[in-house]
Amino acid sequence: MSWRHPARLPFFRRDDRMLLILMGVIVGICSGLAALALNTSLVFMLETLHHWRHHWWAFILPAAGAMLSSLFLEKAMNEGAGHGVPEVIYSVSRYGGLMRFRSSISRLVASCLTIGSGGSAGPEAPVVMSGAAIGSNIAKFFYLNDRQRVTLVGCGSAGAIAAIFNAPLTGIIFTMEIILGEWSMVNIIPIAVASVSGAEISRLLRGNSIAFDSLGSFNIGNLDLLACLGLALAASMASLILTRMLRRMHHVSAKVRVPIWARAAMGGAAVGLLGFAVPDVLGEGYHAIHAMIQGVFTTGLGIAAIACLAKILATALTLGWGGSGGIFAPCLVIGSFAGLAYHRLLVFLMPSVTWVNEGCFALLGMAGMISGILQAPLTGIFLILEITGSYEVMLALIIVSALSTTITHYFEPASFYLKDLTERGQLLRPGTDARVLADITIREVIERDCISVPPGMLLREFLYVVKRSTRNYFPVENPENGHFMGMVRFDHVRPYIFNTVMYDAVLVEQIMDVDVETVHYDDDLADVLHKMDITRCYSLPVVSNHRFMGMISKATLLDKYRDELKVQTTQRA
Amino acid sequence: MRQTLEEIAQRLNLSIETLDRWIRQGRIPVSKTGEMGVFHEMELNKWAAKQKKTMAVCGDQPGGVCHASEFILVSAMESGGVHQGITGMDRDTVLQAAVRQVPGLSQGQQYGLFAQLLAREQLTSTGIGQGVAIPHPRNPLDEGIQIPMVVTCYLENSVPFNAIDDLPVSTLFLILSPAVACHLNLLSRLSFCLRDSAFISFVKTRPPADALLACIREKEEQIEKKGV
Repeated sequence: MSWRHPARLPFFRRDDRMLLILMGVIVGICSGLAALALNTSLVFMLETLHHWRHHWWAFILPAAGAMLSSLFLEKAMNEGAGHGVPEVIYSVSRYGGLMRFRSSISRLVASCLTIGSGGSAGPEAPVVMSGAAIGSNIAKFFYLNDRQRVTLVGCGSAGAIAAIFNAPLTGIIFTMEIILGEWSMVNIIPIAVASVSGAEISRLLRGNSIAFDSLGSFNIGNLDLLACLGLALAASMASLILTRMLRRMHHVSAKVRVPIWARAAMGGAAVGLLGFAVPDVLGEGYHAIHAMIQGVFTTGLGIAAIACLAKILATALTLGWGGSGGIFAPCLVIGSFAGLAYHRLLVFLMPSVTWVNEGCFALLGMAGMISGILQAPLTGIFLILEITGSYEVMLALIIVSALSTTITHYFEPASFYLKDLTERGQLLRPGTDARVLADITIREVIERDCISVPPGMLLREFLYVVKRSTRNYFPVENPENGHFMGMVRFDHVRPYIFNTVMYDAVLVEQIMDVDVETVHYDDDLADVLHKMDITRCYSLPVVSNHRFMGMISKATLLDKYRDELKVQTTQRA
Repeated sequence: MRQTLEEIAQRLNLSIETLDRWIRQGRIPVSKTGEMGVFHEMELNKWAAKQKKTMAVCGDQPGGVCHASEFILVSAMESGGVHQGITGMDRDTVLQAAVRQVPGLSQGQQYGLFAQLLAREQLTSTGIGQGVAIPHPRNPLDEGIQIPMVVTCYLENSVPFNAIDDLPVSTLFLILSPAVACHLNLLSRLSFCLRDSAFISFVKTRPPADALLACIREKEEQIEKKGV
């Protein structure tokens, strides 16, 4: 079975870069195909369901879709709802990118049901998860190690994004900025290759088209650049509202005491009803974006603003109540509505000024929204650049993205994807303190050279033990069952050891500390260090199953910590 | 190259758990085949240099001269020798005579040792009472002494030594050692023996070498057992 162990070939053993590039191509193609599959089935569902949209009971459709997707995820796949990106990030940082095989299709099916039936969500996060799971499982199939697996997970997500938007650069940037959180040469090259192959697959099967072509160029004047400041503000307000609304919806829906699938159905029905009033909120909403970018969206200021808010509400109802899908597409729609509304407002306030085409503002609004929500300005810039093909708006794009990221950061320091992880302390970016501590286990830093003493030992005999020992801590063990009873700390007995009268008068149990803090093998090192800080101890005993196992000391920890930090941060070239 | 994981861990000064995890995470250029680690010697060395890890290639432990301390006193006394009838009228002349008994020293080294011993005596007397003195240099000699030695000298006649109990000294234990740690170890063991008054009176009878060594061996056995 040596073909399944490519990493053991002598050529790859010394330098696995070529291997990763080859694997990257495979992963990129597979995840690109997954992305196209979702895209095609979404189109199919939209067309099938289109005939029923005008019936009065059409609001049932999103409800049924959300319910089915929730049932599918919970009963068939045994996975939680949501878009999956935080799960990918967590798996990358904690389990070396290990993901279940079923994850590669679960979100695809679930989000197809939700979005195809009219729920307001995007297909991008599900394909990212699916691509990542494909990469992870290909790595598992070929017995690759964690580092290589993480690279392939990145390849999968890059390939998926590249394929679904026909945007290879965005695939790379998104993966680096959001999924992996580190920019390293060893990763960038395979991921770039995967991104290219994902995009190429998409071009072969769908043709090389720009997703939202702007038809003609925008001439941005100085005044327009100035207006971008206001647009950034509007976009960041919209992203703040969306983030807050999503969280609020999560809390509200969690309080409703019904099964998850019923909850999803309720959210879906509400979205369906909203769809009667503002049809543009339904589905991924790319139609509306098309119209807005090309400047043929004819609604006025009020309608555009209402549509923007309605889309936010619909997205919150879909995702917050248990539907499945991503935040990417809704962000683009909301952003373009916000841009459009802002443009209308400008025209209304200053009718005499010639502003650039409204499509341009819609486009900038999208960039601002993505950058604000994801806290990833580069992803915003490159995504918009690639999906609209408008290089001439570059300056405005950078301004809006950067400003929007900054403004949003004031109110929401963690991005939408990372917020939950940060709150649970599970955001473990490479080379950070949290990651180093999470990777080192207690088994690795435990010191076993302590000498145990029985409680009935005389101080005289204890001092002989002290002489032999190299440590200042002596665990006391019950001689009958070996249970840990307490610790004798040398600095606590120091006052007595020069008093010869006490040698035969004092027993070990009289000088030991009974209520010592202990730690367990499975404890996190971060918690152990916290315990040390609270108790002001430099060493703590490790006790497992009532038995003393060894000591953890800060001094040794520093040694291991440095090793780990160096290993994590130095690049293998 | 193939080595067991234990060997690699030892050579890199890592715990086996860490090594195992690093291999799994792909952070070290070693791959695992069963219980064996496979690596490329040069690659691993390069990696270790990059991590600035002190990597012992053949596992030499530095500075282990005095670690095998079992029966160090007996062997030191054996190599120093037991010498009867050292003559001299005062402290300086006995010391000079004692220095001449040290095996394997050149004329110049003897002179240097004598000067050092005198310097040490000027600091405080090494006469530790009950007619025994333990002269020794303050610092280990630069050359001439490769192994620890205790030179036992029974004096022909007792000489004043400025001892703490003002008694004249009749027995010298000249302690010479290549390192400070060694010196302390010898000193601590010798003083353990000298704390016993029965031992002192035994020494006063000027026992021959084999009898004295047998007695010391007995004492050291006690020390080993108790871990004093």
